[in-house]
Amino acid sequence: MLVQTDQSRFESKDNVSIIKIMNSIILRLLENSDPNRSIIALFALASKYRKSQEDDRVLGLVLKCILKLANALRTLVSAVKPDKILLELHLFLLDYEDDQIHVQPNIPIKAVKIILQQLVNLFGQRILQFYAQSVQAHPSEDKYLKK
Amino acid sequence: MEEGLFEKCLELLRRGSIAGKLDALLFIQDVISSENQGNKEFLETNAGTLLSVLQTVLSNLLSKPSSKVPIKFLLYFLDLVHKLVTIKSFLKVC
Repeated sequence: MLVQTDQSRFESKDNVSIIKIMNSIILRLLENSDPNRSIIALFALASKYRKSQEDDRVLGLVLKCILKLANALRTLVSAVKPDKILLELHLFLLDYEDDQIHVQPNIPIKAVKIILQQLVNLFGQRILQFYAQSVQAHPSEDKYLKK
Repeated sequence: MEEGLFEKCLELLRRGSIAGKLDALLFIQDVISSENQGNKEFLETNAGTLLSVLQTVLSNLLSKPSSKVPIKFLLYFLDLVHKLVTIKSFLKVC
């Protein structure tokens, strides 16, 4: 949506107002929605736009939202469900081939690392229990997360 | 808030003219601003449906060529969506 409005489609004054209000809507959504659902939705979008390569700006915006949410996880800790998020990260990484994971710069992978780091900071050793409940229980083997 | 009125409001947003959609937005605006507890609960109960319809309206607006987008309506619409997403209890139930 932000990209659609960010194309000088309207008169500049209106364009500025529209972009401003859209940004604010997205920020309020990230702040007030269920963080687990937001992360799942954002990684689904990241996965879609990573493959399409149509418009890097969309992927860039999605990743900015992921980073914003990662920074806010500390304040949302009571609502965070690490098992769900870990499983989503696992599914996201399953889409990668081995050689793609190490391509630099790799912003989606950096986003995964930042979310993981935040989860470990928030849940400490318990993160391994959540990992066992979700990722280890998934039929596809994890090659990256536990590392 | 009556269920019938809300349904009519959603129908206007889905298929109404710009004037009809504007009436529906004004109606929702009144409900948001209202202090009535019943209205707030109704809004929360129907949050998912309302958001889904608002998403359709926005997609339709932004898929039009820029010359055909009613800018003032778009701004009013976005302002209303902004008010809705600042209500924590509204988003928590979606």
